[in-house]
Amino acid sequence: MFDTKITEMFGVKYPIFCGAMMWLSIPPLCAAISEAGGIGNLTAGNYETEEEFRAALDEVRKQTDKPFMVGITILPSLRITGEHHAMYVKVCAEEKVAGVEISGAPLDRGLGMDAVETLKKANVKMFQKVGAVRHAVHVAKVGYDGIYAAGIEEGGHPLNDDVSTMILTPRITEEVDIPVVTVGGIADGRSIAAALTLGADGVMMGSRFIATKECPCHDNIKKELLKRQEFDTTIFGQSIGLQGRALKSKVIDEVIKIEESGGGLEDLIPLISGHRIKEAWENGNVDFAPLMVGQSIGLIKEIVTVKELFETMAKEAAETLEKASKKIKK
Amino acid sequence: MFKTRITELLGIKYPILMGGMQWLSYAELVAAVSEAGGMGFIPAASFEDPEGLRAEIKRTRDLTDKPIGLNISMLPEFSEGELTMDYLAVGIEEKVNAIETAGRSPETLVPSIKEAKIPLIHKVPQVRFAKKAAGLGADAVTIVGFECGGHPGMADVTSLILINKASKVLDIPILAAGGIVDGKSFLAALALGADGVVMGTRFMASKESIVHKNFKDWFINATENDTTVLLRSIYNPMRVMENDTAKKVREIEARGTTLEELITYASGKVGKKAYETGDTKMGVIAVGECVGLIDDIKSVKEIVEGMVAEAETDLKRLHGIFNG
Repeated sequence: MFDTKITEMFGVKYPIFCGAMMWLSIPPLCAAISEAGGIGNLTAGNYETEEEFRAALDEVRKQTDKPFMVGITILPSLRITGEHHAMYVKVCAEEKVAGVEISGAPLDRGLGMDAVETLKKANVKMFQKVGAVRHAVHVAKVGYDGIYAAGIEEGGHPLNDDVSTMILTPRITEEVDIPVVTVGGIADGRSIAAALTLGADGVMMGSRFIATKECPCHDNIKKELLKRQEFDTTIFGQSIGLQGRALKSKVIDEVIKIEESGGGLEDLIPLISGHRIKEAWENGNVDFAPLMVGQSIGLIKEIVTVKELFETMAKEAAETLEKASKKIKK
Repeated sequence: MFKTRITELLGIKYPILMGGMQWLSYAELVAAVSEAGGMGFIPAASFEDPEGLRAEIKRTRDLTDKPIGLNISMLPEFSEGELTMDYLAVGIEEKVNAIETAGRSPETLVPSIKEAKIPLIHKVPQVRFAKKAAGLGADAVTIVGFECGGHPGMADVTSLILINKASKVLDIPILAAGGIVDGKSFLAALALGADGVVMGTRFMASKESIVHKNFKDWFINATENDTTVLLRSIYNPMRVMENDTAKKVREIEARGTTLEELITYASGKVGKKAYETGDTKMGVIAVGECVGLIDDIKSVKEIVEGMVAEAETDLKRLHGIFNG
């Protein structure tokens, strides 16, 4: 049904990746997505020891023999250090995972060219999440296999260049020869058709996968996403140098108030720590910690299985193409 | 050949509109877009009095017999006040072929426009305003994304999401604005459910555009990182090109200021002078992020026909992806 550089590179049915989501991109969701024909994500930062990380890889492989990515975020963190990053890369190479999604610093700068060589030798595909053309150009030169082009509409940490998907995807495809995957604003068949039109070879989604039956978070949050609209997310964290996009909530109001009154990281940490966010996903209280979702939540209308989601998206994308063809009559 | 609800509503060949750009969309540029098969809009805000607008409509009619539109922006800080109804009256008397309203609800204007049987397009940055406009009787809505030049609204939602959402929840046709610059973005907008597109920045960077050559050179070299959003502090965000004036406005906004002080810098009149003198450091110049995708200065006809050809090619490419 889909024939793109991404479906060819990974031998998958759908050119649809799941993005790295702390506390959510763990074996059950990762395996469900890959098994349904997309490309799941196992987010390494969920695991603080090599044993735990290897066990999680095994867990995914027990549930599916299809390819999946490992998400590695190379940013300063209190919990996950440079040693963790190096361990993740080493294990990914040894285990010959299909690919890695790197966000934050690129591998060459975060870990050195050795890391790039190690992964290349093991045929682990390297993708970097970027929000700017210059970052895409850099990693293409370093030898990466693909780019995740993340527009300002994405949940998580969009680059503060604030460039939207409509511009970023075509701009990056102009400048690099490796496949580009659109991130930010993708939630249905129309948006995948639009991304492919803009020159992408695939898409990445995060928020849309949260509202699936397989996502390991509390049902309250899934139901809450159905109620929320595209204007119900906000940017925070600009004062600490790392902007994030999260669902509007009481806790985000509080975070923004602290930022506006000149509070620093130490004032914010109690509200935005990773463990607090983990607890929020588990207890289902949307006002407990920032939930990093994108503007695409305005397009989510039902909680479905991953398989149903992909089938609906593919059908809608094909219909979209038909409708567009009718608008452009020869 | 294109056939959408917009080409039918407006009686035009291609569903490609040029937004009414203050101090820029004069007769020559407007007529060029209409002649090329799209539709140009004359902004009332470029004229000090309704008779000035009337003269410009007549001048445009001399250049083309194709449909042309009138834009009436009711933005608070540049408001022409009570004159709005007088400009509208001129548009109706001169039988413009469409009216685009923006800035606030077109409610007070709707009865006269309906009575004159002129298609009404209302421009909005959010889906709920679009619904309201549809309820008031608008024939179509233009939905502008965060990436657009000019006024993207307070919610910062991007085109990719807004077009998709608006066309799913509204029954009237949607025009996409913000990020549209070539055949790819045109086709993407149609795929997302739009029945047409509105462009500003791309037409500013055309041979027929009256902006000084220095600005055209800037468009060619600028990237998507060379725009910035100002005036959020007065709840009327505006995306403009990054320059000395933008820096100055950002500074005075950060320290807190009065509307009067802001207008000294942010008034369109400063921009008008800059367009003429070619001083690109001066004025708040509305430009969208799509400027990063503009690499050349073409004639309006080349822009429109290039978009159509590219959209058709991309459609074939997409069929290949799906059937491959």
